Amino acid sequence: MPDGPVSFTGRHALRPHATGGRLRRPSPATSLMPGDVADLLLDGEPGPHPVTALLTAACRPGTAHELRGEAAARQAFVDAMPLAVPVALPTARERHSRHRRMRAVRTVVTAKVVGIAALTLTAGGVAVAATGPSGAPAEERISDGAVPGADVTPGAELPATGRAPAAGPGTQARSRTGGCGPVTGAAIADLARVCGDPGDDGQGDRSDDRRAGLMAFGSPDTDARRGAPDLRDPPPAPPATAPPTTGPPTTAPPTTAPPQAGSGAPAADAPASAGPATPPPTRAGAPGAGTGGQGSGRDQGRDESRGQGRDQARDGSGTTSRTTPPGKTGTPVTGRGAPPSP
Amino acid sequence: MHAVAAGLGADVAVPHARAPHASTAVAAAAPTRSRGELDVALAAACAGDEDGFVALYRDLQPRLLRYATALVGNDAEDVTAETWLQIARDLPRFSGDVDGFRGWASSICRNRAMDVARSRSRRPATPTDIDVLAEQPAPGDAAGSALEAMSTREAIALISELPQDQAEAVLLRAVVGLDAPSVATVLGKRPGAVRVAAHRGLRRLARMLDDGEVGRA
Repeated sequence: MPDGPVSFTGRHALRPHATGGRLRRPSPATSLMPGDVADLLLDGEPGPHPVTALLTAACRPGTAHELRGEAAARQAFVDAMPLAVPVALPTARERHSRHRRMRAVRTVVTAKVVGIAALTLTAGGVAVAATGPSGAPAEERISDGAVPGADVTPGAELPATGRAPAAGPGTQARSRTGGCGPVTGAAIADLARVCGDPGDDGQGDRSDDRRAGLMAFGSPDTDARRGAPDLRDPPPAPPATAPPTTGPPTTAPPTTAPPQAGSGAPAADAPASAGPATPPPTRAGAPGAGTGGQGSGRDQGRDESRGQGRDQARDGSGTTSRTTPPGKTGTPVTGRGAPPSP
Repeated sequence: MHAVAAGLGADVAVPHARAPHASTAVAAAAPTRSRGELDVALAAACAGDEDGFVALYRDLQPRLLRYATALVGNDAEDVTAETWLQIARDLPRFSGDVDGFRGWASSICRNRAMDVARSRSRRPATPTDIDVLAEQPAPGDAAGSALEAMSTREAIALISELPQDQAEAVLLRAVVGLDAPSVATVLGKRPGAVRVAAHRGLRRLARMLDDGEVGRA
């Protein structure tokens, strides 16, 4: 027996020892609402209990006051319905096929991009190798810088520095990018005038000679030609001697210029087809060039086109020795350091 | 209360494990619609039928309003309005019968009521002026509605005097018409705890009524 007061409440009240073996007296609340009656009331069963009336009053149908928000709710339902229409999701097969298609497209696009990138890189590398950092073709770079003066085209006059400018229309560009220095404005203006000269039929050869001479004067070493007379009014002299006699083409005196290294042939070796191939001894550049001066330039202008002259220049610059074509000055060129030919 | 609301999280459909005899109270509350008719109306509303939605509204709105009144008082109409907005938005995705729909709607209503209770605790109340209320006459038979409403209002007011868990258990079981497992899902409790709370609530109501009658006598 416990000595303390006996508790009749709580969960100990349900135990027999808490009440000393006596039965627990039901509380007033339990007597008001037994458990089974409560379950019946909660389930809506009618009964004589006063709480039933209370629950029935609480469960009455809704009044108009309680349903006054019906219009708003209906409008909300109507507004929300178009947005809430369920959309059928793609099946697993559709998703798989779509995924496969996307993967194929992705692969093709990737392959194309990689191919284009590789092609661009390859072509770009070739272009860079061909043009070099200066932008000029590699062949021209070699002809201008690596073996300067190795190929002296006919008609080109060798400057006193021993660097023989190449002949042809591309010479100026080459001299601009090569080691010959920048082309002066006067030479460009002269070239433009020459190129713009319509030229009569009888003076065609002479015009080519003039152009070839201008190509030779494109070098910065020939800036002294600024004072030269206009080539558009050449004297009516024979074609072989007309343009070069108008002024000193180089800084070196014509008569004292020694044979340049690599120039090789004297003027006498000019091609026979050039007519009076022997230039006068006072002609500028003839000894140095060693290729017949104007005579040989005229011959080249007759026999070959302008592009051929450039190709010839390229070929000569790209090789260490060169043999002139038949009918022309057959002077082997051995490069810059070659000893002068006898 | 708030912890229970937070534990519920999203408004989910309540499993419908209602006892067969529990629909008696629902039939008493909605005599115009039988259970089968409400099931048909629910299916039609889920398919987009407006009349089905109205039938559901007329059946459930008074119950939700009374339940929300016990939770938030005067803000019950706002709570039920937000509840029906969400029901209208999410009804096409609902699947279940009328009992599940009632449980789902009750969960939404309770969550909205908890939101209102939280917001009310953060901002001061602004009582409506009496002149504004006088300019809004109630439609219909004012006298009859007043008598019926007073009785229903008194009953709801008496239930609202119970502790929160007991009042919710009694309202959800007796007024809304949910069974014990559904109420447990809504409240986030076990069914046994819901049963105990409901029994205690009914006993307290009986005591209150007994005291009231004794008081009147």
